[in-house]
Amino acid sequence: MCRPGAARYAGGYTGAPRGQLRNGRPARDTPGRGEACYRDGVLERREPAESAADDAELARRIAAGRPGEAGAAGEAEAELARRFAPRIRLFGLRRLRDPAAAQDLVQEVLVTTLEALRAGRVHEPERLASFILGTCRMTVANQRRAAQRQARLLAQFARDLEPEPDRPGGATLDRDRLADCLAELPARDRTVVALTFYAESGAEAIAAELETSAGHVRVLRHRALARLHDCLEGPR
Amino acid sequence: MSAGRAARACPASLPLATLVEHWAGELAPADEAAVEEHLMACGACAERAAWLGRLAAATRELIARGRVPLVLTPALLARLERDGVRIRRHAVEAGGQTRCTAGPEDDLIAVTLRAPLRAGERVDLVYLEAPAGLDLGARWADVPVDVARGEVVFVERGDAIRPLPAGRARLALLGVGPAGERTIGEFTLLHTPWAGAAP
Repeated sequence: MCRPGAARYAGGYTGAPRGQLRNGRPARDTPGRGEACYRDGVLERREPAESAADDAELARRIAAGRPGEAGAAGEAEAELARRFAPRIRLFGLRRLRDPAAAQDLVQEVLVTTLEALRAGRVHEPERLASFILGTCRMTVANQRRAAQRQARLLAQFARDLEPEPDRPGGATLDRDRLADCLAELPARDRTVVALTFYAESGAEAIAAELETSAGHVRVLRHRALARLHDCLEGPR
Repeated sequence: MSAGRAARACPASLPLATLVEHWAGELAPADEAAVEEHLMACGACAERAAWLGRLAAATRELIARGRVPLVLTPALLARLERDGVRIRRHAVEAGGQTRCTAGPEDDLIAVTLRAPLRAGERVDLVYLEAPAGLDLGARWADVPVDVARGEVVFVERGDAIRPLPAGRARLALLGVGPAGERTIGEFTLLHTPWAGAAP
């Protein structure tokens, strides 16, 4: 549940870390840590799971250490990578639609962040997540241009390439089980899932193809994905 | 949704619908920025969103490999062909029959059923008869249709059709409404095993 009376989220952090560095501080009109939820069709602010204090403590431990040294700073750097690498990769996957480019983004953003922390250029450690998000946004603009060039080449050889692992070192989806779960969906739901993930069509475009409304497509899509989740993650 | 490192539970997690709209790029810019902020700050929600990403990747892979029986739309067909998925096409008119087969290289077998369709009417696809050895499954309810062209295009996996012996399949499209069902058309497919490329 969202907190009663929570204000509508009027905008996200839009400043790039480079701007933070130049000014020495992030813009004053940016909101705090990312918090968002819907209630009654309105996106509201929410408290994330980890506290800003956790991130701030991590940032301070890294800033207090020397690059690459063992001990508290080294452990903090490893923890920062463990904590944020999956989130940066997620950001990259959604924006770039390319696992390799997303992995490049993870490395580039983590290196940039660690360098900034070590050099004492992150002036509000409790806003570490916002700093990293801003770095992601800035970096992805460059990655996207490179990915577009790569995509043109990859399209010619796509069938010869082995599929990328879902997430290096992480969980993968059981393909056979997913195939069974997809086969159990109603035909229309299955087509909506295919249009969403394979044709990468949005609700409006799918609605035009299926001669229905975008709202109905969203209902079908949500129902189908909830069923897939239950089918994949539930007991066999 | 399990992943390597368990994230702390989020006391106010983002709904799946919001994560899907975010993944599909359908949120307003301000909302998208807010969700991105939350996902960067919240490991639990980021893990759920990552599951969605893995689902998308795995679904794309299965479809591109012809492992998902589907009713196609023009966008799906175009994407499949652009990705180099090998599709053998057959078409049959209502009340008619056609010969069909599956070649050794075919990823998918597409069958176009042509019949007069009505706008707004639910259409079910039913196998009335199938060759032995093929589990054709239950009725495909409420299939997507192209009313303007009077077509339903569905695909079966090439590796499911290829080993079938010669035989006959009969299908029907049924219109379903408040007053009951009506048969829109029946279709006969005469399957023969692959006999090599035509000279």
